[in-house]
Amino acid sequence: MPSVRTFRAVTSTLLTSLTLAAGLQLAACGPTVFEDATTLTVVGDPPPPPPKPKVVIAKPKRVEVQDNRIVINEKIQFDFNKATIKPESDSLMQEIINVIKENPHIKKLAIEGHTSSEGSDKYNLKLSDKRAKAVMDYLVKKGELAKEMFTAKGFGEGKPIAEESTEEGKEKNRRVEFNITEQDVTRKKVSIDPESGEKTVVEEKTKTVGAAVAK
Amino acid sequence: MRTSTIFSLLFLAASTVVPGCTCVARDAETYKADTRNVLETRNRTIKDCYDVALTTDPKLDGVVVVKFKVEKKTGKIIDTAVDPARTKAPESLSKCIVEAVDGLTLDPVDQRDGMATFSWTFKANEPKPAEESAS
Repeated sequence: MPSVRTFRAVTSTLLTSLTLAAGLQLAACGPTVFEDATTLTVVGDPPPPPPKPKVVIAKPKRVEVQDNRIVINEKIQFDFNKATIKPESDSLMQEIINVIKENPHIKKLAIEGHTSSEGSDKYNLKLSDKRAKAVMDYLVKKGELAKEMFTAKGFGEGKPIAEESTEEGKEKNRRVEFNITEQDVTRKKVSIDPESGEKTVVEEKTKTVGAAVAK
Repeated sequence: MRTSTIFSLLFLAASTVVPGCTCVARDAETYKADTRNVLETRNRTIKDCYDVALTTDPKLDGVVVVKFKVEKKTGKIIDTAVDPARTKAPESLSKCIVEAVDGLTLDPVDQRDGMATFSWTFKANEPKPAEESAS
């Protein structure tokens, strides 16, 4: 029979063992703390910038309405020493017709023919007059525009726009001009909403305005 | 007799406690490596998070530090949160990463919870040159 002393020693040893085992267990099942010192590297791809807009250089219009004239940025070609419009100017003439039709506010046009100083005054005056009238006829016949809309007159070498000393200047002076002698002008009275900035036409007046005709 | 009784009792005590830990017990390094492998399954998603952020700022870079717990019972990544003191990135990017990793599962599970800290470094490539628009 074990003595009381032996029993106490065994109990004490058992308790110590249990405490130690429980301690070990707790240590074994506690959280594992860790930190990854090596970062996960992510390499990104930024989106490409928006495409560069293609630079489009606007081709100057061949025919355009400016205030009281129709400007032609190309020459009407005539046969040499004649008042016959060359076929290569047909597309230009068609464009002039289109511009006149697209601008119904144009009521009357004065077609003016001009020459360089080469040749006699009388001859130039006659040739420029014939050429102005040829242009008018073309517009009336092929463009089906009202004849009453036009006047045609030649000015010969009397109204140069460039120096006659150079060939370039002479070439500039050989020309046909289209001056608007009568057109409708519309005046609008507009009120602007201070908050929205919206424009409202409150009054609109259209009147026919004439311009001085060259003589 | 006395000595044998003591050993018997010690064995008994140990055998009653040890059955509590029956799962895989990783050391810290293995735990870290295995968790990293799990996180790397989301590399594509995290890159997407970054690429989206780059649409706002093409030169954006930075670091996002995330802390989370790997739950011992399920192996699931839970309690995922950004470490604001060490994170240098927009909130939207940090949030996207938290969402990407939260809920991932470590398999096999570990007998211990893992308290992990991982960081992601973000670096942008040079943007591709713009192309001229066709018209």
